[in-house]
Amino acid sequence: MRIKNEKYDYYYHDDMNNIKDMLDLSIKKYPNEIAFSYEVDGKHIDKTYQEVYDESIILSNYFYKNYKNEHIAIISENSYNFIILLFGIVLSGNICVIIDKDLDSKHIEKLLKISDSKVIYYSNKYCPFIKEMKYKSFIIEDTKEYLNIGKKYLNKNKIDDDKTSIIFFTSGTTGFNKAVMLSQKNIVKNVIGASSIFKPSGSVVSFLPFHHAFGLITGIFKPFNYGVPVLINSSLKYILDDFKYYKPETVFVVPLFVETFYKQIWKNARKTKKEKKLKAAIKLSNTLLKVGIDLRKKLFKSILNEFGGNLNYMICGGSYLDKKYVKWFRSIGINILNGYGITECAPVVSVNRNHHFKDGSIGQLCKDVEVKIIDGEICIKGDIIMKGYYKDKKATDEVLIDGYFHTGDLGYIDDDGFLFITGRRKNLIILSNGENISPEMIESDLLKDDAVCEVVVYEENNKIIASIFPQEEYLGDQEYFDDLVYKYNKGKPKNHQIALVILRNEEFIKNNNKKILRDKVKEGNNL
Amino acid sequence: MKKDDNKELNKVIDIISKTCEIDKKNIKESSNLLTDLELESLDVVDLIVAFENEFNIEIQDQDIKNFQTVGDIVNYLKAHV
Repeated sequence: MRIKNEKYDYYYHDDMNNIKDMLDLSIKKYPNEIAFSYEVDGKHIDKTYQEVYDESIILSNYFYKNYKNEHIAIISENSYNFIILLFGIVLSGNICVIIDKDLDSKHIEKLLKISDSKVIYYSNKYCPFIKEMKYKSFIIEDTKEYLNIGKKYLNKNKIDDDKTSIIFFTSGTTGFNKAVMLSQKNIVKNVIGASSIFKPSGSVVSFLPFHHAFGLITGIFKPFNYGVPVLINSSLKYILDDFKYYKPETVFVVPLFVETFYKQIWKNARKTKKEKKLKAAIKLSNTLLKVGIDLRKKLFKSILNEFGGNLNYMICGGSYLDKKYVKWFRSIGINILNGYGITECAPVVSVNRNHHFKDGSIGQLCKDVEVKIIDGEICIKGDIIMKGYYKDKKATDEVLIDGYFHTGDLGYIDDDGFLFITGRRKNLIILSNGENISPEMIESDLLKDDAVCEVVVYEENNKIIASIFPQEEYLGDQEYFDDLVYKYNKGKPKNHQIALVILRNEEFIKNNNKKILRDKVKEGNNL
Repeated sequence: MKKDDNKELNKVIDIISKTCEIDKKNIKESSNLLTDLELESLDVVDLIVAFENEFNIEIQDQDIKNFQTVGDIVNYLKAHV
């Protein structure tokens, strides 16, 4: 049977306007099904949708009793308590500020200040230093106590769908962190929009951090809303154990995971001396697929078993993923559906569909998302667009213009409705003759050469410079890279040509999300 | 004492070499895991699992942040095994 790849209707979805609607719908549809599974001290725990609902409502009583319109921060590793505390906070009319647990205390204090957070619920395991801070703080591990208190009170808050409910911080590679204000409507409309084009099947193992909108809204709320069980991974150390135990059909990933899985598979093949066999099997499988014979489940059984044996979809977002990985994983039987999201859009804008996809594309637009390409830039309109950056009108006005959110990403939509990204406007090289050049485009071209490990292209004195961190065997080989650039420049207009190649001996400095800090490269701090 | 130091270090180097497929010659006590050994954050997690299995201990996630060099791992293991 050939892989089906053609246009089809949106998946149906009930309407909802806030997180209470999402919870109500969940107990109406699947009260006794398992919503979340997790482990505490080696003990496996399952929670049904009804239990999630009940505990979230009780916590909303607790928060309503104690706080009014307060900014309450959660700083913790992924956990079940994280989710129900967050539901409790937003249902009680308070605002949940989500902060990365891995940041140092100074950075955390800065974000608490920017977001006007007054109360913190934190993981004592990860950030014991928080109790030393001059904030009202509570330990997440004690959630049982908060549930006991909540049982005595009643939440009388009437939800305002459009009021800010969750604040995420963006991890921009340039400039300071920005606090993105999302309403409950933004969030649930994103869940509906994404659910209308992609359907998770079977169970999900969730391991992306909840302080990213992708990890929380897409990785947790979306499967929750679809009625599929989610195993909350507590540490990346146990990810393969979790795969084997929970046998997921869908996982949500960023490119780093795809690249690492790819590397691990080949490493294992080398260790077991099956590298040649694997190469031959992939070749054979691809040939057979062309004539409609699918033997992938059989041929790659041992690899697929490492992922639990049932993995069907890896939904990938967050940054650029080379399409070679999409093709390679498809040839062993795992479908990578690449998507595009941005925190300010709560977050999913587009994703390749289960049965309609295009390699190299970031997929089709979610239902009710409007896109307009303005001067090459992808601009988005719809209920998913954030309310703004908290207390930063200037930054908000720069990106929200005439109802359109300006993503800063350059791209286009093809005739079949697939969105493609070609570069980032923010990093645009603007030459003195007014020409705009996207460094990412040049970088992705140079990265095609195996000798290039990392590259950053920037402009200096109106000339294009490529700073390259070569693969180990090419370190210091100036001649090789001069030749590479010579070939690249051939036939290109003078202004588009790379003037100088600077070789590095160390990789570029990156932020917590492994994105290269481009500004530092130009400042010379990243040399 | 010095002999023990070397023993620990050699064992750590041995495990890194096997797990990450890096030539032992290129792994030194001062090697930085990310820049010198070119490991990604997820490779480091993989490495930690190898140490846990080898030394039969549990390394907490929050401690992993502190492992910058091979020497950091050696010191951690000395203190915890």
